[in-house]
Amino acid sequence: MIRLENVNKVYRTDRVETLALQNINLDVAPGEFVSVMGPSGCGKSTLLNLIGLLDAPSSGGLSLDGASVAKWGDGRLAQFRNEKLGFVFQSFHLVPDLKVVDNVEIPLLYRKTNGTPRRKLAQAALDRVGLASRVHHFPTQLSGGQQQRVAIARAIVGKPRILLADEPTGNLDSAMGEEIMDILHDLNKKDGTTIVMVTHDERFATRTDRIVRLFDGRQVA
Amino acid sequence: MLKNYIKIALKVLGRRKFFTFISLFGISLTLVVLMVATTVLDNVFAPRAPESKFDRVVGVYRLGMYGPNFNSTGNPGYRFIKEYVLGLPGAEATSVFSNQSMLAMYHEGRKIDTHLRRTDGAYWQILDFEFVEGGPYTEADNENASFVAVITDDMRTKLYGRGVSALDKTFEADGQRFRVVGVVRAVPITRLVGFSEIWAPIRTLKTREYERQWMGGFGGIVLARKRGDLEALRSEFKRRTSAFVFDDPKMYNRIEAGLDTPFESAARNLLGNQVKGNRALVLQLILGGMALVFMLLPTMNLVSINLSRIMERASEIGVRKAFGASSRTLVAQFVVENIVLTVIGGLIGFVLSVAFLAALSRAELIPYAVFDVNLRVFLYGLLLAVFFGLVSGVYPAWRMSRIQAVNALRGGAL
Amino acid sequence: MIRHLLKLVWNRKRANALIVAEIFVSFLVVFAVLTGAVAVAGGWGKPIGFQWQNVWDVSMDFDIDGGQKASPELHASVMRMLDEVRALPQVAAASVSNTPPYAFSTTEGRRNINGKDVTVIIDDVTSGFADTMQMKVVRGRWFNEDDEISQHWPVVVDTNFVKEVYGNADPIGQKFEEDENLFHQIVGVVEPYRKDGETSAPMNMMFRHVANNGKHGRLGSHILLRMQPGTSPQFEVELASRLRQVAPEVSFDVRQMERMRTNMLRTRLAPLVAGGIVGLFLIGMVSLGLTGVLWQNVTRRTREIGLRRAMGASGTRVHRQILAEVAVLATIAVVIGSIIVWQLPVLGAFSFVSPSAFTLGFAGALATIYGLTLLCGLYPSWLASRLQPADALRYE
Repeated sequence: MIRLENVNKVYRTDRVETLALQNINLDVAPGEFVSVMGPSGCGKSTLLNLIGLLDAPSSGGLSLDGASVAKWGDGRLAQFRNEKLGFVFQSFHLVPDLKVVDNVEIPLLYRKTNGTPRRKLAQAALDRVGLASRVHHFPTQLSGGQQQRVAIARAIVGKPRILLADEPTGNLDSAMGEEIMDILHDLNKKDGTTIVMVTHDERFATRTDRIVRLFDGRQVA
Repeated sequence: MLKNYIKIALKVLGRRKFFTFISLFGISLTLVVLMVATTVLDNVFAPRAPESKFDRVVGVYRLGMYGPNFNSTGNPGYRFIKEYVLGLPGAEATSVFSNQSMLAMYHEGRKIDTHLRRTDGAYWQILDFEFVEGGPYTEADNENASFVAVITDDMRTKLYGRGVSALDKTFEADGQRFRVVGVVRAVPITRLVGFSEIWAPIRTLKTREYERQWMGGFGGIVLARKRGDLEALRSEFKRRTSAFVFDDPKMYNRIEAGLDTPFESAARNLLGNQVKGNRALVLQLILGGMALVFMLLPTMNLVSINLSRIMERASEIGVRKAFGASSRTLVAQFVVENIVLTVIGGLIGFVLSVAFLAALSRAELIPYAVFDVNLRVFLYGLLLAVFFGLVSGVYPAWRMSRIQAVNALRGGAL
Repeated sequence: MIRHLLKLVWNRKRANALIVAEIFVSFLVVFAVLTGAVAVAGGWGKPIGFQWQNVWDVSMDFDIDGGQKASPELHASVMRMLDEVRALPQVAAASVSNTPPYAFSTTEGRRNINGKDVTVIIDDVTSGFADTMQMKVVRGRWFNEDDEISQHWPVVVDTNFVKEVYGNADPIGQKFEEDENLFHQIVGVVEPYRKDGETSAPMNMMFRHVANNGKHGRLGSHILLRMQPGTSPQFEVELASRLRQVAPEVSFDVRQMERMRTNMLRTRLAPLVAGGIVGLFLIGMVSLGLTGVLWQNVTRRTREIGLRRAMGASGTRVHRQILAEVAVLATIAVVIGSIIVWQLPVLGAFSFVSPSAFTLGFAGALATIYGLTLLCGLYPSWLASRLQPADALRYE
């Protein structure tokens, strides 16, 4: 499903070169739930961004769903993100000026879905994360856990094959974290969604199929 | 403390170059337009030489005669001025003069386009021309219909050459030969009563037809002993004209005239006799309203730029609050920042206005007009700059003071 | 997508209100300036109904109290002057006129003809006027000797007058009342005449005949001369001295119509130019401000943009979305502006502007505002499309 071969990522500013990822090889099978662990600044988020096509590797090969993405242009990348990928972020990233349901609809805006089915899909996604009653609230009126559930609803509304979660429980207390993990597991088991999750929390990591550990840009396990 | 504020303000403005530029551009050009407009108005209406006594001069510049079938409005005729303005009781002096008429002179085979105004002798006492040489003609000259004239220095150059004395030299205008008795400094065309290039006695007119006409071609002014007398003079004039005897009541049966300042006269011209009451105030309100509307856009512009500047700095504000800055210091800092900005804009605007007005004077679009920014106009400009600073700074500052430190720090919003 | 944008704009209404207000005021300013420009300069290049080249104006210095007749002496003097100039070989045609083109004087009257209230512009002319101004008669005839002894007061009108009053009916010979027991009779129709030339709006023109013998007509204070082409300006000196000989009691000034025209154009166009400069400056300022605010907006919404990229929006889409938001704001402002602007004719506040000038000004303002706002959005939205999604999401 996801394959990285000898991937390097270098950040250059005018003076300094930082090697964020070094020689990463990773293979994630369809339906697998992988967690990525490591201390701050070890390159976890960079790895996730590469897989999420938000950033390009400096060298090495990346293929998603059997296709190499190296030569893809901006439009193709965007389309792939829209159809095959879903994102959940540590700080939720909900648009404050939009109601919950409008936030969830965002991915559908970038494909050819009409208003009524769009609304239905969004409702269904919110239902799935247990927020059907909060459809017309603004994000600021919700608790952190609720906001993260909205973000998950938004990530899955387009039925992606791959879900990328960047410390989804990082800003939540453990009870709420458990709730989020339950939803992710549910998605993984019932829908067969491939999930890559970056986390700090050993407890949540152990609940996944496999743990990838990074240290200073290197894969250590 | 204030010095510190200003220092910080300058630093912030230097850092945000684009926004500083937009703000300065808006403030300074708005001020230029307003300053140029005020200067032109000031040039037209404020008492200045040769109309420097016009703070206590009122005149009849317009007369309306109304009847069942005919309405006629225009400049009053000689007869009206003679019977109702000249010798008005309580006045220090009164004068009658014709409108300046355009005139083509043929001098030594050259054509000179010029203006000629005919006046009585008292005209020279009420207006204070600066004589370069010679002096004015007198009422006796007028009575005797002497062919004497006063000309401007500019006219003197055109007729006789630069720096040549014109005294006792003659010239021909409209088939009549005049002898120069005085030369005055040129007068801007914007002066309602003072402007002309040649002045000659009324009695030198070719026919005496004008003596029997109520309407057309003349004006009259009244000089009060002191400003306080003006109201009394106006009511005396009103009393006199209310007893106006009509030649033919079937034709005209009502007249409309008043003793006006030049500004009131402009108001009467622009608004018409139909507008009753204080026409000058109405015109002032209209002009003020136009200025306000004109300033609305720049102000809104500044407010919206300032607002977005504040929103951008929300987290900075949060940090400051967290470290103990009170809302009040932050607002003060912001308002000072804004006033510094507008004062800088004001100074730039002032320099630009001076340059523009100098160019305008040099271009001679308005003949003989010299537009200098006087202190009064500068003060208006300064006032406007501060007004700008306050208006455009206060609302954003208020919004800023309401930013909650927690929210600003969390930055939670996207 | 449109609905989504409307929601975004509406939920941010406090921040957007100011932008909308600015665009709204700009719209009004542009509309006013453009309408004024079209009203004054819109007729540029269209026929004016006369030829001003080689025409000189002897402007005499007398006023006749409204409605009264000139004294017989004055009438005789003016006729002597007219005869004198007509005899000169340099003069091709000459006529007396009361309110000639470009002279800054107009006689306007309201007449009730056939039960119709019409506003007419009037000039009082002697029979040489058509030759002097080289006007074209399209129906009937110009004034001639017969009119001197006509029992009615003969008039020539232009085609606008005919269209307004008589429609398709034949106007020749039609009579209408001027005063008690005094009737006008139409003897001819000329091409549309715009008295003050290029900057005049179309008008209903009526020329009243002035009889040489003083039987009817109101004596004007201008004698217009059509000079033979190539007459030297120096001839003015001789002309003036000859006129002084035949009428020493009349004060006058000789002017060339070309100069009067320049003067008129300058006077009419100056406010337009001033208004245009001020308007341009206002719009320039607003555009810069708008660019700044939109730019700031993009910066503020960096993470939202990053998120949208992650959700599958391409750079082009983000670009288009920002522009579309600007267009929504402009549309709101323009709709409010249009509602107000279209009240003006209803209130009669724009009666001096022709409907076509009004419409043109409106359309121009619409195009300008949309063009400008989109231009303002171009740079900020381009910036937005260039944001790297990964950086944008991490933006603080």
